[in-house]
Amino acid sequence: MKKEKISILDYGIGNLDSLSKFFKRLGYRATITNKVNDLENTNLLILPGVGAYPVAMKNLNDLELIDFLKSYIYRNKPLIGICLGMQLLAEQSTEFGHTKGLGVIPGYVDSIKFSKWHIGWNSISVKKDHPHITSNNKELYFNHSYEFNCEEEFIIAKTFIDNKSKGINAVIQKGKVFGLQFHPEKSQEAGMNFMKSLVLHLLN
Amino acid sequence: MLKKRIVGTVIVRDNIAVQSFSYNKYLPLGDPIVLIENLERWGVDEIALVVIDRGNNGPDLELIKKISSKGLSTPLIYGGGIKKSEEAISTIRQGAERLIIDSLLFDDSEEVKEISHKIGAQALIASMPLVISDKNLKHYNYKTKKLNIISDEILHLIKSKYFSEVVAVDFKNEGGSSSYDNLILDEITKLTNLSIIPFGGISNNQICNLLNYSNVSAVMIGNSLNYVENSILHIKNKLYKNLIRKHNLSKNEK
Repeated sequence: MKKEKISILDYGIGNLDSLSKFFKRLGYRATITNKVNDLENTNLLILPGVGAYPVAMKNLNDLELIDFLKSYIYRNKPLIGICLGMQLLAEQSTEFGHTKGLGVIPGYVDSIKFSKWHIGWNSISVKKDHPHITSNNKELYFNHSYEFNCEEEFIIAKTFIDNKSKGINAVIQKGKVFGLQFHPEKSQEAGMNFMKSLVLHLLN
Repeated sequence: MLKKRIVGTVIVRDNIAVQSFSYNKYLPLGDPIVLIENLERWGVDEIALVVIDRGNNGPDLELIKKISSKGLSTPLIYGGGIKKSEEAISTIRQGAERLIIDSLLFDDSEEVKEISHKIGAQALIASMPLVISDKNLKHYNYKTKKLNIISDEILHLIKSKYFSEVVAVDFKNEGGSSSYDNLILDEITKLTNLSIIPFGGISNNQICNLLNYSNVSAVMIGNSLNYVENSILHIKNKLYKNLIRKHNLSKNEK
């Protein structure tokens, strides 16, 4: 077991046990917590999420975690947002009305333009050379109906529903903050291989 | 490009995985956790766990927890006993990625909307046992054991944005040796723009044909996957490579 500690933020949203076991399979100590003291001492923070944007932001607000998350990121500490967790990094979302996000990566969340949903296995196309992000043409599991729109400078990889769609941002980055639209913990071997490289990069 | 999916399905009754015949007879297969572990190892794209005897007891969180504790790395769809949004949220937190709703369609459409609002339509699938009877598409209520034309309320739910997919169950052919009735697919397609997942009596030869329908996003397959080891791999190898995600066997499985 590697000595670095990964914390998975528990704010009442998402399948946290799966994530915990996933990181343990990668060889890391992973804890599920929403205590600021525990989160301060973590080497890598995971922001998970399944469900509706307004509910997620309300939960973060009720747990008084919004200021902590902004401070954590401002201090250049590593964080990976997964699925809805990635979308929370935006400035705002239009899901069920207008909701303010964490504002970590400039951009907004809106419904997917070419399809109502993006559900299933899809490959990613890496747009910007990154030593720790590769696609290997292996499919990863997506399950979402909203997408993160942002400037090209933050986009590492896109995914395409079909030949006609303009692409959905699959991997975004600003500093040590990464957003993954897919679920690496539910993407079998492809997800493990992807995360192995990214986590190693963030912890070094 | 987005691939179509093969969903390995495990039906549970009395805590045992069973082969179901037309929602009427059941043949025990064994421990559902073992079957699910097999499906994951064989490379299904999603696993559907349907517990058919929950009634008003809520979802089987204990079973989902046991499955999650195995560290499943394949998306899990759960159906059975979900009646309230709190139960839906608990099921997701316990380990399911997506939920199947069947009897709640008949019982409480407002609660269905509430569940969709809380967990997102991408996580919600409507399951509808269907049959062509007197040249009409009819919807089977397994609690009352009655067949009726699809009600306006249910039609509204599957036409609107509360679900992302509909499982069109050929319940008459489920578990049997006849094929899935394509007329069910044709008729349900006229009623909703949602993607359809056929289930019930699908033969291996039919899978490719069904997946080639533009509005079919996946097929759910139950019993037949358990009779031949690595059957998923054999099925996928026969399908056009751009249609489906391929799975490589580990060295141990070759």
